Amino acid sequence: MRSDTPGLRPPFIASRLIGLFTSGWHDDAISGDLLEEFSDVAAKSGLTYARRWYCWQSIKTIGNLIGAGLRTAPWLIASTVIGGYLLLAFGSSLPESLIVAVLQLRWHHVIPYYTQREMDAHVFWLNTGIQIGHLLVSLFIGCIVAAVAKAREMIATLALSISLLALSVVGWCNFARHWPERALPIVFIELVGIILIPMGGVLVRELRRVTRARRSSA
Amino acid sequence: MILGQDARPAAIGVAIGIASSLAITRLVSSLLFGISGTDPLTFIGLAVLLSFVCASRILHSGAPCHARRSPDCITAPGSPLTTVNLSYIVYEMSKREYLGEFEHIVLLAVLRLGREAYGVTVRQEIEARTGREVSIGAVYATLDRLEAKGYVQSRAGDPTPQRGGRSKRFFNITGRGSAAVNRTQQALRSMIKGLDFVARYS
Repeated sequence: MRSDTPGLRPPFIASRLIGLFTSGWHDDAISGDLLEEFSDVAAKSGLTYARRWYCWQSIKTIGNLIGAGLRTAPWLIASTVIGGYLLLAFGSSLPESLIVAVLQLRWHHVIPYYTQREMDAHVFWLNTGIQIGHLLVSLFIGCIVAAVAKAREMIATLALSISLLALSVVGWCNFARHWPERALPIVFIELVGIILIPMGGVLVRELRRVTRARRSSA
Repeated sequence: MILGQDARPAAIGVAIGIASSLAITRLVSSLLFGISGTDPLTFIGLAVLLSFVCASRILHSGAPCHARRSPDCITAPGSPLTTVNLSYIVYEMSKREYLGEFEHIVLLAVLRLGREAYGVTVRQEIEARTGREVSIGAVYATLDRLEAKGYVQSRAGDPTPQRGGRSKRFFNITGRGSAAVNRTQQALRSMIKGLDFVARYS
């Protein structure tokens, strides 16, 4: 995104965020309108004020677009959120089962562990490997939810993420009361997993945008 | 009162039905097992069910009300606000699709701007005339809703360099949109009429 005046560019993150929540002709119309007004505001009140104005307008516009998306397709969003939650409930144990199965196979049937290095690798996969697996599952489920939600990728994945966060906060409080010393790393990993769900939405969204751009240029 | 007038034939029908059923049960009583031919619960239950169906039909059709009394009569000052009248008013309102406050403002802005109505100009027009700060997202969310209702039509403009090569989306009001604006204006005028609004609240 660029305007006609050199160096007069809106904040990159804000303009990218707007692009994530708009689709079809909305993308051209909303992003173009914001850019047009940004140029006018910058000419009248200066670049700093214009950039601040653009960020604030982007935040409000994203809020409006989320609200409109929820109003126009409430059942689609609700079903994708429930579907995503069920996938997470069933899929979260998969990395653990897979890694444990592979380690067991290696331990019993292939080569026994003789060295400290091999033991360290075993422990690494059991701890960090499972956690990385959980995060990858979250990202993958975010991608599935986004793919099902079609043009509302970000709204569906954000709705799933926010509902999971609300449920998790209750669990974290309970966990922290009983095991305060272990709460922080668990909360951190789960929080990253929750953040990765909308990241899946971003991936699908960008993939679709690139595909559409290639098709239109072809 | 309306329900009473319209429900009279229904009540007569239910009474005739019960009498006929009592007579016919003598013929079919030999075919019934585990229940008597004159089971009071079945008779009362069916009568209540049929009465409920008739009542809901009368409330939702609106036709008998039109035939006997005009809607103006129901909504006129001094008319009793009975449950039936209220249901009728709500039904009529949902049928007429009045505009929401912001929808009304956006449609008036589109009307004022004519062929130059697109996101930026609509937003600026609203801000200039109402002093109310609105986001471009709010304007487009409302224009989308209005387009879905058939109140506005949109067309793509040419891309301009000032917009980073992105095209504008122009909007114009349709006949249905004009009718909705008139209807809402009329409703507002009739609600304000006689209130001495300006003197009292300004």
